[in-house]
This record gives sequence, C-alpha cells and structure tokens, in this order.
Amino acid sequence: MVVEYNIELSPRLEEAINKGVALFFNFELELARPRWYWFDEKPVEISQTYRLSYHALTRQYRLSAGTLYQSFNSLGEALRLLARPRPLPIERARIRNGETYIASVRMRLDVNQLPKPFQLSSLTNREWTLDSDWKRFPFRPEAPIVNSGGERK
Amino acid sequence: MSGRLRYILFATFALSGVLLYLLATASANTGGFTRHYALLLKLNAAIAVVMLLVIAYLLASLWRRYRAKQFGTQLMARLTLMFALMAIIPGTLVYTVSVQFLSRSIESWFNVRVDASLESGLTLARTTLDAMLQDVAGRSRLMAQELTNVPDASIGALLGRMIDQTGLQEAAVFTTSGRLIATGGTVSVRFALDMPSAQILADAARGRGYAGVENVAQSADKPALRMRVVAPITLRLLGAEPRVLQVLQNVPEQLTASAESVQAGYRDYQELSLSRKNLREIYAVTLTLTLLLALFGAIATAFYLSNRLSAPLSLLAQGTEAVAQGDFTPRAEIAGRDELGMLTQSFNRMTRQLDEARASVRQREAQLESAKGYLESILANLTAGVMVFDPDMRLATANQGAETILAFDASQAQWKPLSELPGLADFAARVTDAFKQQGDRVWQQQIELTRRGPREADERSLTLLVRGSRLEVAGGQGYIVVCDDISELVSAQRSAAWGEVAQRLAHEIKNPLTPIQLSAERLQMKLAEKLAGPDAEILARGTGMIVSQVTAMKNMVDDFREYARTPPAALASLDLNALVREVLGLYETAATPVALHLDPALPAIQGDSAQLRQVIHNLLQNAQDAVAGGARTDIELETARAPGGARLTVADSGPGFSQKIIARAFEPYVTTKARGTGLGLAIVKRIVDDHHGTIEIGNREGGGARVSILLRAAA
Repeated sequence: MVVEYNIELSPRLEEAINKGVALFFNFELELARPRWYWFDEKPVEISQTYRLSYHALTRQYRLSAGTLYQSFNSLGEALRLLARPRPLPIERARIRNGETYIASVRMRLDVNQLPKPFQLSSLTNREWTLDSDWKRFPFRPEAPIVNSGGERK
Repeated sequence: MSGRLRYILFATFALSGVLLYLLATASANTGGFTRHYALLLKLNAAIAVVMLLVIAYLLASLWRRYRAKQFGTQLMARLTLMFALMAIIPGTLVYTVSVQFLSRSIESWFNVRVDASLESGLTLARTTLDAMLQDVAGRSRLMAQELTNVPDASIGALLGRMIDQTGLQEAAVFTTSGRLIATGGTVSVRFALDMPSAQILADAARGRGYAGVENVAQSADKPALRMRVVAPITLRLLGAEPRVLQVLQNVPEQLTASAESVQAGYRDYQELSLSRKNLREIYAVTLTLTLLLALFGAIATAFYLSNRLSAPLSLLAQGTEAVAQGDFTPRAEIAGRDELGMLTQSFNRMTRQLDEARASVRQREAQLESAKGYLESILANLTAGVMVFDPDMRLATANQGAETILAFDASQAQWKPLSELPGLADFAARVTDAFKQQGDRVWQQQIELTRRGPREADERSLTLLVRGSRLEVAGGQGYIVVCDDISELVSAQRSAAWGEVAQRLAHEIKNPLTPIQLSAERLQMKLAEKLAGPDAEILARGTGMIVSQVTAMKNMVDDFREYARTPPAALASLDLNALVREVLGLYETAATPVALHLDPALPAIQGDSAQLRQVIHNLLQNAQDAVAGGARTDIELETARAPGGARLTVADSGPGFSQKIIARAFEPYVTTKARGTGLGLAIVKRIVDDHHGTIEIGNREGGGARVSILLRAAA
C-alpha cells in the first residue's frame, strides 16, 4: 500500500536538525481483527524507523533505514522521500484470506530517541511533536495489497 | 492526626524518596532511567499533589479546630508554623542558591570563543576537504580533455594508465543515460554499482560537471568520506551520446577521522547549546520538585510533631474540664519518662487525691447527717417539748413534742416571736419574765395554760413544767425552753390522794356505822311494845330513817373502798361484743333503750371481764341518768375496729359535759348529778388505765356526751 504524508518540520525541529541533532521517525502499521467479546486481536504490528540527520562536513542530509541510506543536498528532498515511506511487508502466515481487518498506519516523530533535554520540552511544547495520528481503513487480504491515495497530515 | 493519615504520609514519604532518587539519577544523563525521565517526573508531580492535598486537609482541619477554639489548637498551630519555618527557610535558601548556581554554570559552558573555535575547526575541515576535492576535480577535468575523441574500445586502457599517473583510486566513463562504458583503477563491485544520480548525469549532459564530498559511512562509528567528481567529456561527433567521466576518491582515513571528530564535537556543542534552556529546565524542574516534596514532607512532619507535642496538653485540658465538672476518673497517661509524661502522671495523682478528699468529706457529711438525724429523731420522739429561741425570743426550732403540747405549727411559727403565736401570749410572758428574773441560771416553773382548740368544746387546761436556760450557740446567745405536759401526772397524783383519803375515811366512818345501826334496831325492838300511839309511830319512823341512812352510808363507804382498793386487773383474751350483749341484758327494762352498733369483725381484746363489765355498766348508768327527764332520749353503744385494738363508744342525748367538767371529769367527787358519789368515771378511768387503754370524753356534734374507750387487742 502506498501512503503519502506531507511532513512539515516546525522551526525548532528544523533548527535542531541543522545543528546536527538526529531525528527518528517511526512508520507503524497495525492490523486488527475486531472481537465483540474481548479486546481486538492484533496479528500484525510492525514498524520501520527512519533516521534523518545532517552531516555538517558534506552539508548533506541523510535519511537512513536500517543499513540503507540516502543522502540529499536539501532538507526538502529528504523530507519528500520520508513522506513516501516504503510499504511494510506483511507476513501472509499471520493473516487469513477473506477476513476483514482494520488496518491502521501512522507516522510520528519518536520523541523517546531525542536527546533527553529535548524530551522534556516535548512534554510541554507542541513544536517538538510530530504525529500523523492513526489512519484506519478496512482491509481484506485477498485483494492486491495496494492502497493508493494520499494521507494528508 | 488520624492513624490512617499518618500511614498515608509515611508511604508518601518513602515513595517520594525513591522517586526523587530515581529522578536525580535520570537527570544526571547516564544510567537506565533516562528513558523514563518523563514518567518519573509525572510520578513525582503526582506525589507532590497528593502531599499538597494531605497538607490542605490538615490545614483545613486545624483551621476548623482553631475557629472552634478547641484547647491546644493554638499551641499546635504555633508549633506547626515553627517546625514548618525551620524546614522552609533553609530549603528555600538552598533552592535559590542552587538555581542561581545552575543557570550561571550552564551559561558559563557556552562562550563565544569555544563557539568560534569549533566553528573554525569545522570550516578548516571543510576547507581541507574542498582543497582536496578541487585537486581531484582539476585532474578529472584534464582526464576528461584527454578522453576527448578516444574511441570507446580504448577508453578502458587509457583510464587505467591515467589512474596510475594521477594517483586516483577509481575512474569510470558513462553515457549520460547511465550506461557504463569503461572503468579504471581499483574498482570494487560496490563502486562499480555506485552510479552518479540521475540529476548529476542530466547536468553533465548539459556540459556542467559535479564535484562533491559524500558521506558513505555504513555506521556511525566507522566514518567514511568519498569525493565524487563528474566531468563531461567533450563531444566528438554530433549526434553521438555524450560521455561523462566519474572519478571516485576516498578521503584518507586519518583526515576523515579528524574531520568527523571535529564535526562530532561541533554537533555535540550545538546540541548542548540548543538544549541549554531545556537542560536548565530539567535541573530546575528536578530541583523544584525536590524542594516541593521536601517542603510538603517537612510541613506534614511539622503537623505530626506538633500534634504529638500538643496531644498531652489536650488530654490534660480535657482532664481539667472533667475535674471542674466533678469527674475524677483517671485520664490515659502518656507513656514516656519526659516532662509531659510526668505531667499527666502527676495530674492523675492530683485527681486521685482530690477524689479521696471528696470521698472523705462526703463520708464526714454523711456521719454528721446521721448524727443530726439521730438527734432529731430523739427530739422528735421526746414527749417533752423542746424549743430554741434566738436572743429576741423568736422561735428557731421546735420539736414534735412542743408542737403537740403548745398546739402550733412549727413550720409556720419559725422566726416569729413566741408571743405572737396563737394562744401563747400568757405563756410567752411567763417565760420571758422567768428569763429576765433568773438571768443566766437554769430555772424551772410550773405554768398553767388554757389551750383553746378550733372549737369551744376542745378547750383544755394544761399544767406544764417548764425549764429554761441560756444556750451558747455559734453566732450569739439563744434560749432553750423545755416543757413537759404534767397534767396527767397531776391528775394521777390527785386521784391517788383521793384514794388514800377515801380509804381512811371509809375505815373511820364504817366503824361507828354498825353500832349505830344495831343501836337503832335495838331501840326499835325494845321500845316498840312500850310505846303506843303516835310515839310508837315516831320511833318506828326514826329508827327506820337511821337504819336506811346508815345502809346508804355503808354503800357509800363501800364505794369508796371499791375505788381505793380496786384489785389489779387479770387480763385475758375476751370478746368485747359478747360482753356488751351480756351487760345489755340487764338494761332490757330500762327507761331508755340502748341502740347497739356492734362491729362483727371486732378483734379479741385483752381485758378483765368483771372489771370491763363494771365499766360498761357505769357508762350506761351515767347515760341513763343523763337522759332521764330530757326531751329527746336516745343512747347509742358502738364497737368498732381501731388501730391496735377495739373502740367502745357510748353516746347519749343528754346535756353533755361542760368545759369545767371535762378537765376534771375523772377526778372523784366531780359530778353533775344531784345524787351521786362522782366516783363512776373515776373508776372507769382507773380500770381503763389498768388495761393500758385510753379514754376520751367529749360532746357529740348534735349535743350530748360521748365517751370513747380504746382497748388493746389480745396479743
């Protein structure tokens, strides 16, 4: 499925990243099967962490996911790539065909990975938080696993 | 402070201690709690709020008690304030200094020189890298010029040669569409795949080259920098696809490491600089939370301590109040050997002593009371009248006997002068005179007193023996007067004297009577035949007169003897009603019939039947005599139950008793009859006295006499 976000960094976040602070973004996906008698079953909970940093020596922005990385000359390019995260792989064994699931996705700034002084600010200051909120849609696995269309934050 | 609240406080203290330690650890930027810093902060804040609520509750309850003016609250409030101040002032001082110190010291880390030198270091590294890049770029351009017009097949060999000449690491030639033509140098697989980006190729197609340093670090701890230069190769043929030369050159490791460390230092510094406000906030918040927790803890402890200190005082206050209301039960003692414990102990000792003192006072009062009651009951049971007067001869106290004898009501007569009491003016005058004449000495006088009752008929004459003396009492002098009713005694004395006289007289008179009678009879016998006519008649009349008069005299003398020598009563149980009926048999033919009212439930009485027969006989005879010749004639005889025995009443419709007679009716020779010895009632009285009974005489409501005798029931 393809999700597209429109990520705008607050001036504080932009300043932080230009001063060398690395920002971590979590792209999360959940599949939930509603159960009337108990909490929803959640067979799939996966997430991908993106690390966005600035390299002052080369004046390049670097977006990395695991061992893969890509460098950009401008922050805008890096954010544009971040805004279209790669689809997350769903293990077929965990879900059953024909069953209707509620799929939820979200993209958010992982505040816990910020340096501690910034974490405190993030408790009180909205400038330090970035969260798309959960976006939910029904999902039937037999269909091609593609959901196009932009999710605007 | 209740027990539950205390436990809450202790738990809160312990919890806040642990949390504060964790918070401080987390603030120090190391250790595992750093990630939970926010959570710790929130928990501590929650604890602070709980403590604040507890303190607010304590304050409110203290204020309520203070308003209610509960004893001990003022002291408690003052102690609490003092304890709280003791904690607040140093705490606030340390806090202020710490905050100042903190902000100054953090600010001092950041100064312009460090900033500038780090910036310069970074610039230096960049400049070095740029210089190297320029060098590589210059050589690349030369290579690109040389590659102009070289056919594709020979590019590879030429590249290899040029790499060797220039000392570069890797070179490759692409078409602008990205197709690899040839490579040269130590081409690794990865490098081979490391294509220039589409943007760069497009620029190169338009004749613009590219030169840049790229970060190719696979991880943060293995820095790697690489220079990439892309130079367009001049077109050889029109229409052929343009070629570009790419040269890749790794920056020497030594330089990379130095440049990276400069950059890391710069980044760290920038990060710190950016977050210094936040850092200050962290420390300030931690400090403030610590201060708040410490302060709240101190205030709560102040409450607890002051409560502990003032609790014994409240206890003592309650005890004092209870003692004031007469409750001497011991209070709970405060354990401990300090002054407060001793205070409560000695308070309890004091109340115990008070209790004992009160008990002994009460016991003494009871003793006095019983002694007084004893005396009073003695006085009340005295038949003698006892009266106490103040110096002005006003009545202070009088006993039952005095009330009976003098016929007044002591409750109404109190504090009245004796002379103002009804019917006692004469008596008062005599008593006052006696006190005047005798002064301080004890005096004794016999005083005759006429006592009037509510009715004329009840008037009686009393003979009183009165003794008087001065009485020394607290608060001055008084008089005490004791009077005995000796009327009965006098009457008895008179009766005894009469008995004596009667006996002597009877003896003296009786002796000559028999010779007189015999002489008269002899005269009659001897002279009756010698005389004739009128003389004989005179003789017969004279001697007959003498004999009848002598017989009458003899009867009279016998009566006297009877009175004087009544034998002692032989008491036995007998039925009064039967006796009455027996006596009544003699009066069946009497002039006036006797109406009988006999109580069938009469108890058996103690009596001598012969003597009682005489009593009934005498009473009925008197009644017959009284009604003889009257207009209305009726006589009633009644028996009835009475407390302690039976009452026999004889009433008639005769003239009744006059006042004079009533006083002396029982004395011999007091009579209203023309013919009579006056011994009838005297004998009755004597017999009744022998039977330990009482006799009352009086007048009936409708006129006529009424005599009532009370006889004791048989035991």
